[in-house]
Amino acid sequence: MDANGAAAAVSAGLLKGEIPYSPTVAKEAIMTFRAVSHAYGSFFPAGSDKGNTKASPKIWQDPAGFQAALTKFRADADAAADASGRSGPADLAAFKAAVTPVLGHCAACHRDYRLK
Amino acid sequence: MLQRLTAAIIIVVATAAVAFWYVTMPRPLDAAQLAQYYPGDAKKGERIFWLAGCSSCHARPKATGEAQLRLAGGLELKTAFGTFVAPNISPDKKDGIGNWTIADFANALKRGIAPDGSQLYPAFPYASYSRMKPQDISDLFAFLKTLPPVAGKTQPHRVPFPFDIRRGIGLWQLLYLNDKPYVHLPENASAQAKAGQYLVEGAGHCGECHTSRTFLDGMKPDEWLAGAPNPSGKGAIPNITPADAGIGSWSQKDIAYFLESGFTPDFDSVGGEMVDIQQNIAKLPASDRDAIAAYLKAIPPLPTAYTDTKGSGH
Repeated sequence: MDANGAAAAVSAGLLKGEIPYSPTVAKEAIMTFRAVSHAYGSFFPAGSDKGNTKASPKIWQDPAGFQAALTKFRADADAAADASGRSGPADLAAFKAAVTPVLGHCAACHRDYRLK
Repeated sequence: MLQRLTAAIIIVVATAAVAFWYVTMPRPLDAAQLAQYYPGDAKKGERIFWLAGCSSCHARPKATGEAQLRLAGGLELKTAFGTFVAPNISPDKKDGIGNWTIADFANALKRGIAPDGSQLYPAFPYASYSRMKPQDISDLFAFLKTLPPVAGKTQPHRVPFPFDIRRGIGLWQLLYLNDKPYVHLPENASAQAKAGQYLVEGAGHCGECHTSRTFLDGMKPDEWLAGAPNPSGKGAIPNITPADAGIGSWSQKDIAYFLESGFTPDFDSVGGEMVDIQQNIAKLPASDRDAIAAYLKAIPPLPTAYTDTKGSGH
């Protein structure tokens, strides 16, 4: 999740123009999202709902719903990676189109599956 | 002797009953106050609608897009005092508020009173809405009238004794319902921060979740926005005062960007119930988000009033 957060920071910096646009940097952010989206499902094994966690009990109560949310995140991250091509999204508009659906998953998933 | 004692008891009980009756009386707006309300401007009312977050409780849970404008109610708020069901406030004449007058609406928001004179449970956040200007309430009412009527009464609240005695709410209102500011901003506070105070303490009703409550469930002004137990269950609602333990490290720009995008300065994202609220606030003009942010930088920094011992921190 920290990797996702760092990629979101880079994405927002590019989108807001605080970081000059670079296809290479943009692709790096997208590929980070993609890597996390493929690994994330295995971060919540049975029993890890105990102790110091902000994870919502719904992850374990509604595993099908959680998996469905992850699948959508993965699909959009894969699509963004595909759209990036070999050298990254050519311009800011292309990057915005590719990354916006991915960023939408942060809050969508945290709404249901995190406590705050 | 026994007769005298009985008589004394009867007098004491009767006096207490009369006092209770008097103290807990509904206090509707008077004619002069009601004269401040008028047919509002629905277009301006839409801004108040998103600021007040009406759809977050009164639309079907998880509604998106157009469905957020169908205010059929049904969301259940499970609290220590019972389960409250958000009612239908669509303009349906039979099941919603289609037959309400502007005076009915103003009395509900400003005084917590239903058209039949009974008192409303403060799960409906009128202890904040009471600060709203008549103009904004008039505009909001006009906007609600433009929304689609949806048929269907909601289930009644499930509230155990003694909280099922509506008249008891009058006591709560006497203690906690007023239209005074919750915090005193410094004399030199900017006009922007003062504008933000009106948005946050009134229609925005941020304190309803972010402020801890007394055992009678009134917000504590001396712990204003310093965090609270999550009213809907597990976890804590964060401290959003400008202290180290709160969001003191966030700049005014960071706060405004969070309200617009849902991303914190370290690019964590908004979560839980705040997702809906942030998406509502994202629909407001940028000047409103800037004002809210200015206010949150101007209020007293406080230590966190409540921490969830199990799941705090990142």
